[in-house]
Amino acid sequence: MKTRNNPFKVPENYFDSLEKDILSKVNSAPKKKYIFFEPKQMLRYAAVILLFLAIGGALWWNIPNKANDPQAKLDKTLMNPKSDSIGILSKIEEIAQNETKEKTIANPTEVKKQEKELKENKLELNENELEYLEYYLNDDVLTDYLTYNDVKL
Amino acid sequence: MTDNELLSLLLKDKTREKGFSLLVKNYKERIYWQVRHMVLSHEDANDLTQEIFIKIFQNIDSFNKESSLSTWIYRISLNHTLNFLQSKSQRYKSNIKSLEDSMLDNLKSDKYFDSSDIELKLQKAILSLPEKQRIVFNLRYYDDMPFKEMEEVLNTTQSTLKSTYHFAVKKVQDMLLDDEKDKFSFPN
Repeated sequence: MKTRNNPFKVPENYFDSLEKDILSKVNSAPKKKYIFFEPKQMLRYAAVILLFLAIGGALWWNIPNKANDPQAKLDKTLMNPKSDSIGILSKIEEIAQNETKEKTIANPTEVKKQEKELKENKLELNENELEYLEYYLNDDVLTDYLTYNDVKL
Repeated sequence: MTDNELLSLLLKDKTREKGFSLLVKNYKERIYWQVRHMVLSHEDANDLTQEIFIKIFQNIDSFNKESSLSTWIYRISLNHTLNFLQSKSQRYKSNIKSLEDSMLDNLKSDKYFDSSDIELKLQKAILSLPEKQRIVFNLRYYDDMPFKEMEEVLNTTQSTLKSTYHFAVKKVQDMLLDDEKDKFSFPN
């Protein structure tokens, strides 16, 4: 005959005593309060947050901040002159206007005086100095130098 | 009393103790046997059953009603039992004798077990099954749990459970002699 007997047994009246045991344990045990974070969990979360902060901080210091980068600001302004956020274009214009003004108001007498002083201060070399230079410099360099400085021999 | 009525009692502070008392009455035997068939020893099953009910009482507020109350209870029971067996098997890692051999030896001298040769042989065959097959076999063979309910408790499809059970029965039968096989009725 086919059976599906339960070969496992329990002590007499076991289930009655089991019920009593469970209920007495439950009544003596405090009910688990709902806690947002248990200490162990809290430590874990804190560790994760600190890790993210460390990575974030490292990235922040290593990646240049485009918003504060002067070159980036200039590039942006030149690409879109209408948005002259840093006022560079207006400054350039101001400087250009001032230069024009200076040229216009320059005294012609003063200019002539400066030119004369420059001519008087032109370098003149004696023979010894020339030999010395020739000795140390090759012809091409010397010729260039003399020509550039308008030296009278 | 239905599970929904039980639940409404459990979720109110005033009626919680009454509700829990009814829950223990309704489920104590089912939980005990589910645990007992996994751990085999009455002492272990007794301790675990009490711990499981305390766990249920302490966590009833976290029951989210996504599954039925019975499914939730069976899940807690099964997880608690498996954790117990896993921690016990860790202790046996360095031993020559495995946890399964030790459980079988204890069963032989257990006064709360009908230690006939054929029943011992069946237990030996069940203990030789991989954990998942053993759970499915026990839930079906001893607890008569329908595959539909098992699907929710174990979070596995019915077709997988049916084939798992089929393989488990085949293995158990292979370990029994022909005349012994005929003495057991394995449900489909």
